[in-house]
Amino acid sequence: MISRLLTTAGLFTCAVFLSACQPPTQFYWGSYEESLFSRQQQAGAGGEAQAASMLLSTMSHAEPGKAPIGPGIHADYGYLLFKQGQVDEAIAEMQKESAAYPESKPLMDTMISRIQERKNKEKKPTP
Amino acid sequence: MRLFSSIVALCTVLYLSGCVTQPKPDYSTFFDHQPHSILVVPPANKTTAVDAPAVFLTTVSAAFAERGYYVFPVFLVQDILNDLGATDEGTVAAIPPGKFKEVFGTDSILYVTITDWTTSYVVLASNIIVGAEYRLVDAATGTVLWTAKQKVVHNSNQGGGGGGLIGALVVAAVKAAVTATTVQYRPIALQANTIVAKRSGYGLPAGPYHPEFQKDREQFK
Repeated sequence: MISRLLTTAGLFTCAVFLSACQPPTQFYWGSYEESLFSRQQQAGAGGEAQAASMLLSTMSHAEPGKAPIGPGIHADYGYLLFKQGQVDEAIAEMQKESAAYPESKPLMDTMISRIQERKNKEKKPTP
Repeated sequence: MRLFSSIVALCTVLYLSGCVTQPKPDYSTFFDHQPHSILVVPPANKTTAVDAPAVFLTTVSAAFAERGYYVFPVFLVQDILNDLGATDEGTVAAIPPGKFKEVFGTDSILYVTITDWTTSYVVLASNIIVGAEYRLVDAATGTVLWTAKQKVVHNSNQGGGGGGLIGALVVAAVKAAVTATTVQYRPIALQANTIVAKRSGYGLPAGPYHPEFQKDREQFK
């Protein structure tokens, strides 16, 4: 128990130390690019699921009031959710992207309307 | 140890970039078409490393966005391009810039050509080299806004290690047998992108998400 506590404390100190070393950034990136790399290394559902959990953890670690979540992160997470069939959650993430970054609005609107079209199509045949 | 090797790498990089004396580029066209967003298309590849473009694509977003730009999610863009039938560098290069504006709503397109993705061996160490050429194009007009070249040489000399001459020979033999892996190239590519985007007087002027936006004109003339 104590050793576990010490490890946690040690890791925390390390994290604080490391973050102090890094130059200030405009955006919070977390493990966005590592998530891309994990998809590159492992194509298909496995790599995508891993990438999605990396992005989810990135978004939960971003601190409000500090560097905002980097461009593309909500959109990419939304895209992965869509591929996993979580349509409503996907749309919500794409809306977050377009609210935070107006430059993404045209693409996000297109994506959202395509996703909704598909959702409506899939709904119809249900008995 | 890790910190030490990063410092060594950084010094190498600074040393190398210090050597290059290119004429300062003219930024008037860039400022006439000041982009807010950048669409990075899958890189073209002049090397024999088949996985270089895909790996390189995972190292561009933060480096360029940190200059203050909206950078579109690179894999989503790649998938949409695939859906549109642009599956290789030739078809991507053939798409007129205006089409990118129409489909993605982007202000500019960043074309990258990978020129170096190699490991070279000198007797006791190896150099990992990543090099690329960059071209930022205005999506509305097709005008070239910015071009740059960057090469980063990472020297991985195995410091000392003891073992005398035989030990050194073994190290050399082992190193020569193992070509650098993707995992080793990736940080070098990240460095190349960060340097090329940030370099004062040669990189990208600060964009709208950067506190220096429209205040750094003195650096870029």
